[in-house]
Amino acid sequence: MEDILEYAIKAAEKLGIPFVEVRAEDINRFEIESKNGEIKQTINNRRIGLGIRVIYRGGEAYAYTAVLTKNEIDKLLVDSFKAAKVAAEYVKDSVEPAEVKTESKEFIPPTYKLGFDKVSFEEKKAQVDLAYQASKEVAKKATLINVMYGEKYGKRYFMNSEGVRQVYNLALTGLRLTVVEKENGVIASHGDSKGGVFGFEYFKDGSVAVELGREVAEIANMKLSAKAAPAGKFRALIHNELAGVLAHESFGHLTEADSIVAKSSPLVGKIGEKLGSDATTIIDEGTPKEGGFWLPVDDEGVLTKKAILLDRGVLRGYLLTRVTAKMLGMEDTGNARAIDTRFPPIPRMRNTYFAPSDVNIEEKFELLKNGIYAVKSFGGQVNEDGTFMFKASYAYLIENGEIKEKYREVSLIGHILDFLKNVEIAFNDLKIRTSYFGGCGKDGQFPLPVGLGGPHLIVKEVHFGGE
Amino acid sequence: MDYDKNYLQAIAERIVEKALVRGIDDAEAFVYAGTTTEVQLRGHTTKVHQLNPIGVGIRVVKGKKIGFSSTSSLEDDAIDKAIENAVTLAKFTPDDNDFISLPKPIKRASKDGIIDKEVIEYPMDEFLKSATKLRAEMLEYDKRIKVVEGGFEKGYEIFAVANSQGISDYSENAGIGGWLYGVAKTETEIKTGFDFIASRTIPDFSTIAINAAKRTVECFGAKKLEEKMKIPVIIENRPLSTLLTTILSFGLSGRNVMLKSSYYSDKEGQKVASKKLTLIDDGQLPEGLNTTKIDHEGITKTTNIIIEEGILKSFLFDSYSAYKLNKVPTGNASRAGRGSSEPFNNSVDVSFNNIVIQEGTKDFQSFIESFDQAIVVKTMILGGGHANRSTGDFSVVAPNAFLWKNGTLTPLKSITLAGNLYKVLETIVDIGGDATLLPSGKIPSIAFENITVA
Repeated sequence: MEDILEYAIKAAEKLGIPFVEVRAEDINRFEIESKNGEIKQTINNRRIGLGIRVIYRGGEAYAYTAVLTKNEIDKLLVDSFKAAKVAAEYVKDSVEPAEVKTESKEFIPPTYKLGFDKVSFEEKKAQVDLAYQASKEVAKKATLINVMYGEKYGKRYFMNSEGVRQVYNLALTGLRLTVVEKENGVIASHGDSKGGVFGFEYFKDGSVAVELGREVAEIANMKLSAKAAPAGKFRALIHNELAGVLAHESFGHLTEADSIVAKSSPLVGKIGEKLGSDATTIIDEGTPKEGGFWLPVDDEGVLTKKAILLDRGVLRGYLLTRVTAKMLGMEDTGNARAIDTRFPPIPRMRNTYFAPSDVNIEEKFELLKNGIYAVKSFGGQVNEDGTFMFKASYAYLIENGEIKEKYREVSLIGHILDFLKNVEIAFNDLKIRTSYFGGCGKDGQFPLPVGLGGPHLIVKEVHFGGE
Repeated sequence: MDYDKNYLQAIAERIVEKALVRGIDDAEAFVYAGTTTEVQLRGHTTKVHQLNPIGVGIRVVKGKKIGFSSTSSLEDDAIDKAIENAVTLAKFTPDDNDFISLPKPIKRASKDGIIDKEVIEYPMDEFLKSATKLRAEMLEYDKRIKVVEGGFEKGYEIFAVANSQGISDYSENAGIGGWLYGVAKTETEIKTGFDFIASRTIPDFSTIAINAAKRTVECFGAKKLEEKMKIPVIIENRPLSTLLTTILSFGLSGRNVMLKSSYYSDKEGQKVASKKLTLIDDGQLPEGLNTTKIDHEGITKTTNIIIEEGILKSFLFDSYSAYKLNKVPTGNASRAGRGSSEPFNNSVDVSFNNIVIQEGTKDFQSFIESFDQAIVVKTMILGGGHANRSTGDFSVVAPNAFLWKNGTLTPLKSITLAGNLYKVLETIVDIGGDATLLPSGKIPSIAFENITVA
């Protein structure tokens, strides 16, 4: 594979192309889905492809091919150079990519041990069966138990006309389980997943599958007897995962530099402004030690930097790529990402989270005193203006520091800037997770793996929308 | 593109041979190569995006077990691995008792649609020039238009299918098109509008800039619809096509009829729509954008009357659903998935080829004028894709709607339309004579009763 990339770089030089990036990949994807213990679907595919990005005086062209021959590369280079030149005629401000320091090397995730290609189909299917059995034993009223196993792994190659040569080893796996139970006309459902940047060793002894099956079933059981949530304004305790969804969906997207350059984000021109309370620090980084998605380098070959977006409430930065960094006169953060070689890199998040403090998590109910504890996350939506609606998977009513009532799904409604101002406490229990399932979507590039998280948060007032 | 049809067909045949020696009963290979070039206009940026996907999808059968695997490569080792994966999966999947056989060839005198060499070779510079010119035209048309987005695209694809039941064939397909979307603002109102064109021959792109601009600003000065009105609703061909394809592609799918999940499951031969409605699925319409000689499992395409003067005559079948229901496959097997540029990654499902609705005689303007009063829905509807496909219930938002009353057309603030698509087909008031070539077929504007407007 490296040979054909080197060829493309040399051929581009001969054609007089001033700036070119070549990315290639050989990625395997495999999924098993079972419904009530029977295999319903398997997905198995492999992508071997190559993408060329030419930038010429602000004009940009991108081409993808799965035909890895010199002939095809020559043709795409000629086409792309021509396209970038013509596109450049219609660009108002011609901007070149910002200069960056990086290194040429192979990046291998330290947590990736047992290669998926060394493990048989039967062993993978056994995990799906184990999770199903464990769940079935606990969820006595189940009408549906759905289990999915997924893995994605392989190599991604990067070279550019500035001499950068990199290989990034992608690995991501997960197991997801959903239970639907029915009793006396009440339907309760719950779903969750476990996984991350690991090899098959993560699942091998079966304990992860069993634990997932039991946990999900226990919560589904609890939700069967839980009440419908009330609507209204309450003091709130926000679970790690829900904090992560808020950081990513409602704040992170507003800091992506393409929406800053296009002036469509409400955060345009607000660097240095106090937007949140002193308890709110939001970070986006490539390789957090707490886990999440491991990304030491982005798809422009730039080493990922820790981007402090919000520092004790003050807006400090955006998520930048080489071109947007140059346009905004800022330092590139290494946030250029593409889901695969069919697409050019655009500003995307990596691992986005609220930073913790030293307030002990053991005191969470005591410090909340009275309010609603919203746990885990179950979808929702965000608008470009910053308004959001998120669902928590379940919730508790806390009175005088004690659990008084259990609720099924609750929804949280509001505007992110109001929410940030109302955060009183960030606890010390930072957790960052990623998932094989789902991911972030933008400009047709979905699902891009990202990590998100935070500590538990106490918020002075949240508008709950009932069930 | 470097590939030719015979080469892809040879690969498909070789895959079937290779798979059969691995202890399975039947095998099928779908081999695909495509190329698309797109010019994107966003804000002040202009980008060019070219995609040249290739790949294979392999289906193997062992008894009643089916395995599927795909790869985006035509390299030997990638193909061998994909065959091995499909064979492994066929061992472990549970029996599919509805499965009868892989498709057997059907002799029909079918052909590919119009292939225009000029479309395949349309120069990218022309795209860039006209895209930029049209953006400028739209911005100049009306100073209230502040943002223009758009895309111009051409595509060419070839695919071959071979299986161990005697199918071995290929098809090719080419098309060109473009769209422009405008946002217009005043201090009090924001209006959006768009227009698009899709064709197998080089179209006159200049029409879409003017139309998109007109459609963007024609709704300024919108009034609120004060009362709930029980008057006919005229839905223009473009927004109607989204709603129709979403719901009817589900209701008329042989797979859903087989599972009894379709509203039409037990209604063959019955009256399901107004006598005015004749709906054809035409896989052989020469200018139709989904016309090919064969479908995605190699069955020859045909022209199939689905609803004739209100009577339900037939469904859309792939081999799986047809064989189970003792019918003949209609050439409606598709692996397209939603917006997929790589059909080989998906297993077979059922979809429309080109929906053709027999049109009336009046152009859009005289069609409106033939009513005393009506709600007129133009340009686009939002939420059509979220309609309940099994019950037919829909609730959509129409941002570009008008009230036709006393001989004048008054723009309305966004309205909601709710109803049941299967039921409103029974109360079609009239059908316009403005059938237009759309990505989903040839569809005229239609006036309905029993749609609730709020």
